[in-house]
Amino acid sequence: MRELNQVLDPKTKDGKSYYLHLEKGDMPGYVIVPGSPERIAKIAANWENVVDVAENRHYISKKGLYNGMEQGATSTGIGALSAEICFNELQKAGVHTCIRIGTTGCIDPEYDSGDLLIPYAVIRKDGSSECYIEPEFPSFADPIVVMALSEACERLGYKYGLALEYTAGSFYMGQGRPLSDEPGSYWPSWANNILPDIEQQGVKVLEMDTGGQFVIAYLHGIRMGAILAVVANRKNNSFAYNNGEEKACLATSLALQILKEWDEEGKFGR
Amino acid sequence: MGTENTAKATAPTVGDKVYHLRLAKGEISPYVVLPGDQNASAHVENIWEDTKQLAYNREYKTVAGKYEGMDIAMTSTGIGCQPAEICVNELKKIGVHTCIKVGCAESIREDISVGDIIIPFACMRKGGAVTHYVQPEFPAFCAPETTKALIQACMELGYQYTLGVVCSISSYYIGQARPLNGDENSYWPTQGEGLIAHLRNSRISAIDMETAGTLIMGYLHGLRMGAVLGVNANRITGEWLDEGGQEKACRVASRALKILKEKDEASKSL
Repeated sequence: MRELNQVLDPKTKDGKSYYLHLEKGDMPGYVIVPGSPERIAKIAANWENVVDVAENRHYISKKGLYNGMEQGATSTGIGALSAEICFNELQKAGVHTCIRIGTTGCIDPEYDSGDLLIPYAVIRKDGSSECYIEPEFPSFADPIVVMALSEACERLGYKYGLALEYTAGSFYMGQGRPLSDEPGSYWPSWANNILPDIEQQGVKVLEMDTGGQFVIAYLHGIRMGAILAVVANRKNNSFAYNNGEEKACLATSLALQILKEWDEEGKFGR
Repeated sequence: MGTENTAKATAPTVGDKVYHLRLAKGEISPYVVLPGDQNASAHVENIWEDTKQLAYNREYKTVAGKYEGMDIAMTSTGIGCQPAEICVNELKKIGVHTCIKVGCAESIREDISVGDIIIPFACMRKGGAVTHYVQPEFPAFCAPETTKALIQACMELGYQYTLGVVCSISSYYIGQARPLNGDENSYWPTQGEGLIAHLRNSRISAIDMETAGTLIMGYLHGLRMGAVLGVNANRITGEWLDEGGQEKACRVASRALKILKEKDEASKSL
């Protein structure tokens, strides 16, 4: 065991984790991790007996009962750096399984706003996982979590797909969005190649968070998956919500319940 | 198809056969098992019926047969992901669409012993021909439906399995932390000393030579890929060689291909 002092494992004055303000046992083992703090309310809308556990900065934590199963939700904020802090403190609080709910841009014409995509592997240009491990370490979802999310979407009758993702730790330049309409605005030649190259590689979705989260969570010993609601189709330059987030929230709560059932019956070897 | 007269430097052929594998379009089943070692033909001959060697050029041996009534084939890829690149390229050209790599892996966990089965659903990679194809952050992964079929195959065969992350290293000696010989002055860079500990600490289950590169190059050729490995050594306990693991892996791969074919036919008839 490594000994952690106040500097290595910062705590608040009352002994809670520094950013999330959680203590061991405050959260259930199964936790949903949206990027946006506002999405916590949409997740909790599917629960009963909702408890506000903690709130600091953009990190909001709640827990409740979905069909009698205890689940938690904590918002990660934008980007893998903010999420790194979240996973570290969730793991110390006793969390073992996380499913990210996000919104995403899509470059597969088969999926449109409101559809759901489940990333199983990610090209990671998130900017934080590179501080943890070599770039050739793969970013992947736990395959059993992918199966549980697929099963949940099927039971709910939602249109979904499995996706190779490209995570850019940047919303504008890194995802090939010109900074402005002005002719002199920064636009390096390689920015033109981002979308065509990832399309060649069979990427279906691009967003800001998942790739780094998968690696960092894995290295924390957390089992993880993600489900993304399409809000933008970059092929036809459309942007709309179409209730994708609400569908993703319900599918995730159901997927956690399915996972817990599989865990209890020991269905899959590890 | 090209003849001797129309063969191109960019896509060489010998008569109506692809250059290295010496197979013609449609000559083998589109469901193929890919061992590294051509001698794995002895294993598939124990498992399949009506086996017939169709081609054998350099390290590329192709055997066709029937597994529980289904047409199936094996083509060896040779050692490392460079000959595997040639193999998947030419298999794609002759009409193959689904490949499962089988091979050996060296466990770096005490609880995964020789003879055990690993399903490497995602891989870290070090070096190899694949660096000519994609950026370092591109993940190596099995198609999720193949992983699912491999899990189901293990369950049906009653085999224990580990869903594990494997590190594919394009070097057998120094790259896998084997001193060149007992001579104290022989080349032994510092990276060799800490490698296995670093990989264990990164939650990697085993090491091998070519799974990562084969998976990525197969994916980029539009093939549905998967992999299953038999453990032939344990770098922690020092256990060495068990011929049983490879044959078990061939059995799992054959059964998984049958599961995928049945699924393919069911979706066609919808």
